Amino acid sequence: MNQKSLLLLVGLSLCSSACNVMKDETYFGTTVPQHGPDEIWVMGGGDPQYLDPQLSHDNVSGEFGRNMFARVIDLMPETKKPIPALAQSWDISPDGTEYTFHLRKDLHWSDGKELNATDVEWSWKRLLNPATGATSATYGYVFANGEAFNSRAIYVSGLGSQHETKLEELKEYFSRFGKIEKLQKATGIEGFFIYLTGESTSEIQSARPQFIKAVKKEGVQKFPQIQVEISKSDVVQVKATNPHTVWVKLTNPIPYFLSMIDHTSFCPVPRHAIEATIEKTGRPELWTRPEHIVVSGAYNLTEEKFKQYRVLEKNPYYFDAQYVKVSKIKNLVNQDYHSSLYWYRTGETDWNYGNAVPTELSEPILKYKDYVREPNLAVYFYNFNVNKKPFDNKDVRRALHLSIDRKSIVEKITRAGQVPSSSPVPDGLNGYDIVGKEIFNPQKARELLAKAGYSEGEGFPTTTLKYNTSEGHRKIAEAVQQMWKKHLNVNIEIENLEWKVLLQDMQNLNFQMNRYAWIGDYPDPQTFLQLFISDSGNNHTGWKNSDYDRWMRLSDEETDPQKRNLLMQNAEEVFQEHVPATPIYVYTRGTMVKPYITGFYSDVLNHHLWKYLDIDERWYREVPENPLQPRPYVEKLYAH
Amino acid sequence: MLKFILGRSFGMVITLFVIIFVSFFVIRFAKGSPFSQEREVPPEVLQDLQARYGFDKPMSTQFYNYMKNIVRGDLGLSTKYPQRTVNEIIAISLPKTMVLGFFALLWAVIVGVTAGVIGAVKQNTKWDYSAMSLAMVGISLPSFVLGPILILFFALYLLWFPAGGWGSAKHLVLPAITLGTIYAAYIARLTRGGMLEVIRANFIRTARAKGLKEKAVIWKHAFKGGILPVVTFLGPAVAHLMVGSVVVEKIFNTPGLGPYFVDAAFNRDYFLIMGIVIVYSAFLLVLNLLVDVIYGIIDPRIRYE
Repeated sequence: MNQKSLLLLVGLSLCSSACNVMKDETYFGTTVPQHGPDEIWVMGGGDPQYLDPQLSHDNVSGEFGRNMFARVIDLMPETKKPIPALAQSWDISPDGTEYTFHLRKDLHWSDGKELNATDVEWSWKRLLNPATGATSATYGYVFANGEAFNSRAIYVSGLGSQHETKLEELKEYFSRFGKIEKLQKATGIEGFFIYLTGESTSEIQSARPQFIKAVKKEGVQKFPQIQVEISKSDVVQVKATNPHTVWVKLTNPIPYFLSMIDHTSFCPVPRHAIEATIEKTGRPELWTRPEHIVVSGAYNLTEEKFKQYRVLEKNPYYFDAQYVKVSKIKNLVNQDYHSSLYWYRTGETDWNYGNAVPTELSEPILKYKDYVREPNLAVYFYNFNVNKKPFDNKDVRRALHLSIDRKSIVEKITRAGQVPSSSPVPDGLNGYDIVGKEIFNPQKARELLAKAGYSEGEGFPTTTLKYNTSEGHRKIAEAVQQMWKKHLNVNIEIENLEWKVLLQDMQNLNFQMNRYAWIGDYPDPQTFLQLFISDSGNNHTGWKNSDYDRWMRLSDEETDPQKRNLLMQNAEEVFQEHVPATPIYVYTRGTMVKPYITGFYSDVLNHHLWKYLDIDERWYREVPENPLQPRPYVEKLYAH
Repeated sequence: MLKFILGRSFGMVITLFVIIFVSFFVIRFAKGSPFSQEREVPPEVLQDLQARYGFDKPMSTQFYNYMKNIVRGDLGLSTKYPQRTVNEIIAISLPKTMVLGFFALLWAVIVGVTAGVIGAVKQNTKWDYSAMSLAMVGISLPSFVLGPILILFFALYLLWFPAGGWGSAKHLVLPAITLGTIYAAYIARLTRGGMLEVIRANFIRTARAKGLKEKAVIWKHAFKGGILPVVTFLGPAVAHLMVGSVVVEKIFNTPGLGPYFVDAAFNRDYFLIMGIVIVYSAFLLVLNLLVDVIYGIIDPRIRYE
C-alpha cells in the first residue's frame, strides 16, 4: 500500500466516523466479539519464519515459540521478575556463576511422554550446536565453554596441569600447526580451546583436521598424554544431574541470566519428536508441522494454512493448563499493517500483536480507547563509522550528536510518545540512571565543530547518512539533515537503501553514518551497552575503546546490582565522551486490543503469553460500564 | 500448424533458459544475503546454513546443480520459509492467484461487454455517455486507489464483505472487482468500437432491410462480429491478470503468488524468486503461443506457414 491510498483511507475513515457508522466511537470498530467466548483471534503480521523456538529470531516466530513451548522460568508479565515455570525453584551459587534448577515432578510433552532434565540439557546444547542453524546461538555463550562448542574450537587436553596455565607459551608452541586466533582456558574441565583463523570460514573449516592431525603426530612427542579434537557438546557446562535437576555453570556471574533464559532460544524442545521426524522425512525442519509437532507449552498447533492462519488449541499436558482459559487461538497472517487495521475494525481480529500501528496513523488512532501504547525496549540511533573522515574525530561526532533536536523529532514526526534520548540505554531500566542527559545543545555543538577545525561548517567534507527504506526513517533523516544544516551549517546527504543492502554495508563498515536500532533482549542495560564493546559482532561503528571494554568487563563480574549499575555508568561516560553512535529516541509500540479481551499485559519486550487472555462475555450483550483490567489471578497463582 | 507450434515451443525453451540464466546471476550479484539479520550470525552457523542450500559452492556449480534440479521439476528450498519447498509454496499459492484472476476476468467480460453493447446500441445517448465515462474512470483508476475505496464502503461501512483474506466466495468479491475493473473498462471500449464498426457494415443493413427485429440484428449478427477484438484482447489480458495481481493481492492480503514476488526479492530468497520468475515466464510464454494459435483459427487472413 502506498502513501496515496493511505491518506485516502485515513480521510475516508474520519469521514465515516463523522457519519456515525459505528455506534460507539470510543472504540475503533466493533466491540462485539465475532466468535464464541472460547476462542480468540489474533493477528501476527507476517507468516512466522520458524515455529522451532530455538531457531526463531523474529517477533512473530518468537510469540509462537513462547506460547507453544514452556520455558524453565517465566517472567512475571507486569514486573518482569522471574517466576517458576518448568522449574519449581532454583539455587544460585554464592559467586553467582552456578545455577541449579529443580524441575516440577510431573512434566509431560503434549504426546504424553515425560519431560525431564535431559530434555533441557539436550535443548540448550542444541542451541549451541552450529549444525542446528540457530542464528541466535550467541545467547548460549553465557554457558561456560558454550562459545567454544558453537565455534567448533579445537579442544586440547591431557597436557598436565603445570602447562595448562601458561597460555602464552602454549599459543606460541601450537602456532606451528596453524594460524591461531586465540587460546582460551576451558572452564570446569581441564584443557583449553584453540580458535583458528583464516581468510574465510570454509578455509578455517578445512584447516582444522590438518591442525589436529599435525598435533597428534608431533605434539605427542612433547605431551605424551595429549588429547585433541573439535569441541563436542559435552564440553558445555550444562548437565542434567538427575531427572529433575539441571545444573549450569556460566562464564561469569551474569545477573540477568534468569531474564535471559525467558527467551525462546532456551525453550526445551522434544528430542524424540525431532528425531522421529528426521527418520520419517529426512528433513529436520519439518518437525514443527502440525502432523509432527510435540509441544510443552499452553497451546499446540492443530491446523496450519500457510500465509492464511494457524489454529492453536489448549494443550492439556501443559503444567499450568488449569489456568489456561481460552481453548482456541486463531492466529491470522496479514503482513500489511493498514489492511490489518481494517480487519481489526470489522472484528476479524481481536488483537494485532504483529503489526504495530504505523507512526503516520497513530495520530488519528490515538483517541480510541482500544489503542494500547506499550513501552518498548528499543533504541533508535545513527551509527558513526569512526574509521572514516570526518567521523574519526570525536569532536565532530559530539557536535553532530548535540545538534539533533530530539524533542522536536518525537513531538513532530514520530508522535507516539517516544522518549527523546541521547543515551544508548532507556532511562531507569533495571534501576539504571543514564549518563547522557543532555539531549540538545546547539551552542556547545558549534564550539565542538569549531574545535575540530570546521568553524561554521567550513570545509566540512561531503558525508552521507544511509537509512533503510521506510517512510518514517526518511522523515527523521530529513529532519536531522535540516537540523545539522541549521545549527552547524554542514551539508549531509541522505541515501535510502534496501534493508539487506544496508545490513551488508554495515557489516563491512562501508558507510559514514547509518540508521540503526537495537531491540533489547532482556530488561537490563547490558543488552544495549554490549553493542559498543570492541569485539562485539554487533558493534558496527569501528569504535574500539579499552576503557569502555574494561568497565563492561568489570560490570559483568560484579554481583551487587548497584555497584554494577555504577560500573556500567562509567562505561556510558566513555561512550558519551566519544559518541560512536548517536541515540535519538526510545521506542514505543502502538497496538490495538479489543476491550472485551482481558489478561492482556503491556510488555517492554513485546512478549505476550496467550494463556492469560480471556473474553469478558458482558460485551456480547452491551458495552459494560467497567471494563476489566488484566486478570489478577496471575499474582495469586505464583504466590506460593 | 503443428510445425508452427513445435517451432515456437522450441523457441520458448530457449527463451526460458535465457530468462533463468540471467535472473539467476542477477539475483546472486545483488548485495545482501538471505541469512543476514541485525544480530551477528556466528560464522560456523552461517557456514552450515550456506552449505545446507549449496551456497558455499562456486557459482557455476550452483547454476549447474540448479538446472539439473529444474529439469527434475525441483525448484529448491525457500530460505525464508525453511519448512517449505518452493514447489510447495507455488502449489499452495498459484491456484489462489488463478481463481482470483478467473473471477476478475469474469467480472471484466460481463461488465465490459454489457457496457460496450449498451454504448454501441444507444450510441450518443446518455446511456452511451455514462457507460463510456465509467469506462474512462475504470481505466484511469489504479487498483491501489480502487481497492481501499471498495474496502471502505463495502467492508468497513456497509459490512457486506470482508476487508481481505481468503476462505469463502465473499472474500473474492472485492479483490476480483478491483483487479477486473480496468479490464472491464478496456473491454467495454473495445466492444463498443467493434460493434459500431460492424453495425455500419452492409450485411447489417441487409439484415435490417429484410425486416429482422432489432434484437436479432444486434445479438445474432452485430455482436458476433463486434466481439472479435475482445477475444484477441483476452489472451494478453489473462496473462496480465496473473502477473498484475501483485498489488491487489497485497491490498487484500490474498495468499496468492503475487506478494511473494516482492517479498522474496527483499528477503533474498534466491530459489523462491527464481521459482516465481520461472512460473510467471512459462505462463506468459504459453499464453502468448495460445493467443497466436487462436488468432490463426478465428482470423482466416493469418496463416502459419
